[in-house]
Amino acid sequence: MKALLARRNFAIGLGLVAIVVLAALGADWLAPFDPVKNNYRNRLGVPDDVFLLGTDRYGRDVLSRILFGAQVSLRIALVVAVVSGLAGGLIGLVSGWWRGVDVWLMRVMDGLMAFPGLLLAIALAATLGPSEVTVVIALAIAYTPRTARVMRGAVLVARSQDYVEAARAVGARTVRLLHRHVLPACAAPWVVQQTYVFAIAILAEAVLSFVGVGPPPPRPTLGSIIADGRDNMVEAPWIALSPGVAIAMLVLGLNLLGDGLRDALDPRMRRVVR
Amino acid sequence: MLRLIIVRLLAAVPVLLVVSLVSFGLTLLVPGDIATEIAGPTASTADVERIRVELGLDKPPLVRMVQWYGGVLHGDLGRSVLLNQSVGEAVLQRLPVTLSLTFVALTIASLIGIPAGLLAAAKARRWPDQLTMGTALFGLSLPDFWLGLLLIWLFGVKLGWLPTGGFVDPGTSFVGWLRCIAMPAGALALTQLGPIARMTRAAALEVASSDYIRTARAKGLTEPRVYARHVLAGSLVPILTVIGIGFGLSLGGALVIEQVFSLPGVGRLVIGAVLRRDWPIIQGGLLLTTFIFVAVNLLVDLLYLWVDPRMREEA
Repeated sequence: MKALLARRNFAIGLGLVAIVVLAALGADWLAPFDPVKNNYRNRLGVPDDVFLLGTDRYGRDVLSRILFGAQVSLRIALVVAVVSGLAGGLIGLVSGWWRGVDVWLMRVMDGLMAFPGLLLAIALAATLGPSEVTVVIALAIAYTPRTARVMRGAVLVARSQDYVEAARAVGARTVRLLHRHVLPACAAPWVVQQTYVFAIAILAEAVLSFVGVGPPPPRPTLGSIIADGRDNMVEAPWIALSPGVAIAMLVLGLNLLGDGLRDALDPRMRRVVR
Repeated sequence: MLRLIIVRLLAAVPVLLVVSLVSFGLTLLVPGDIATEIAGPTASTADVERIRVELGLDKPPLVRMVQWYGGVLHGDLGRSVLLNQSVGEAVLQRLPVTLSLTFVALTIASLIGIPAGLLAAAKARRWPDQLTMGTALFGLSLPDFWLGLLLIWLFGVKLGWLPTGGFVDPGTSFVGWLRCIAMPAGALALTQLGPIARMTRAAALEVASSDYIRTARAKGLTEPRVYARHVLAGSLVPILTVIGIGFGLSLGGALVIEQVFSLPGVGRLVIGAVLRRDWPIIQGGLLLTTFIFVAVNLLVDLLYLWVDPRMREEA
């Protein structure tokens, strides 16, 4: 950890992510106003010392909406990273270890990867109806194949290592081989890949919310605040501006974290991941 | 050569099979009754029945699937529920907008990204490298649709230089087309620039340490020439790969960018269909866009052979 923090980029990334995550977690205490309660007296207010980031067309405080919106966006992206990590990890492990099913599983993954990810996610989210769970399912399906590919690659490398051969030679069972020898070797690329998926999911969730297939209003997400602000771009550009800055901070931070982890854990991984 | 092309084409078959299965399967996943949903809350039972029969929803899924595949193989993707147009016609009519947007964006991204990546590699670990790579990572982290909104605000609203949206056919007025496409393509290009610059740098660094580069230097070529001619030539395969992937990402990105700039492309068609539950359009749009993406990647595979003679010999 110390060695990681000594890398400037990693430290900056951690800082950026920490700011947004802490602000989102503390939304209940930090947010000065109710994020969903309309107040028509303060419509489209310019940022001032009461409403630090201004108000939207329903008179809602933009800062409060961003804090609560970041909560929803972070939760969705985190679950997507975990779910696609577990599903993709399992598929990759099975595919890399049992060569008989490999061809079949990878053909399916190739097929899913052939879709432009966003298009597939939008179609899926639209099919299943607008809700937070739907968005998670849609994004997890769209981003599982990449993780499966990375994991499969890592398993293929690990299984041909001498120490795995040796363990097999002394009679270790499959479960033990995978658990003790193969999985630990795959942990690093998996973690790095899922950091990137986290970042991609933040962007993708914002897109889904922006085009109107995200979690339904009035609960804000970072993308839906931008969508709201779009209609008032002329009179009140600040509404769309600040949630985008929050997204950019978060995604840039996660990308820096991913790069830092990748370089620190194994420089050779540059080829496998991403 | 011909054998390789055939092998690549055959490899695309299972991919297209999965893609079409998913596209068809979407309608099976819809919770509730599609016909009722399309007809709307005020429709009579007879109207709902009529739509059900029109869409073939009164038949069992397996029959529908066979019919759908039969149609697809004949180039018939069904009719739009709302547009009074066949799906193929509706998509093909809007495809040039989306493709030209994607193409212009990728061209901009390559024209800036490749030289930037080469520069970064030539000055590795010094300030030009850190600056370009920092910018690349930053661009990669911005939501493109948000960037589009900011561009509209700056160039469209504040400065009034460019139209805030809409589309002019290049046949009618090339300058008008350019003015309409400049901002959306720019916003889309920025997100593609990062991956291209990063990949160029990585590939160029590897190539730069090879023997033939040392030879090029030894015969007295200047550094810019070494990079522009020899390092670039050696790095083209990974660069082409990342541009090919970028094509798919841009297609997805164009979807949203079209929405932001009110461009009449496939993205607006599909998202409009999503919001109004026009299933044939959603299926057809998904299928056709993905087919194009697969075809482009096939093309990229074949470009490798042209770019790298060594691969031709292996083939």
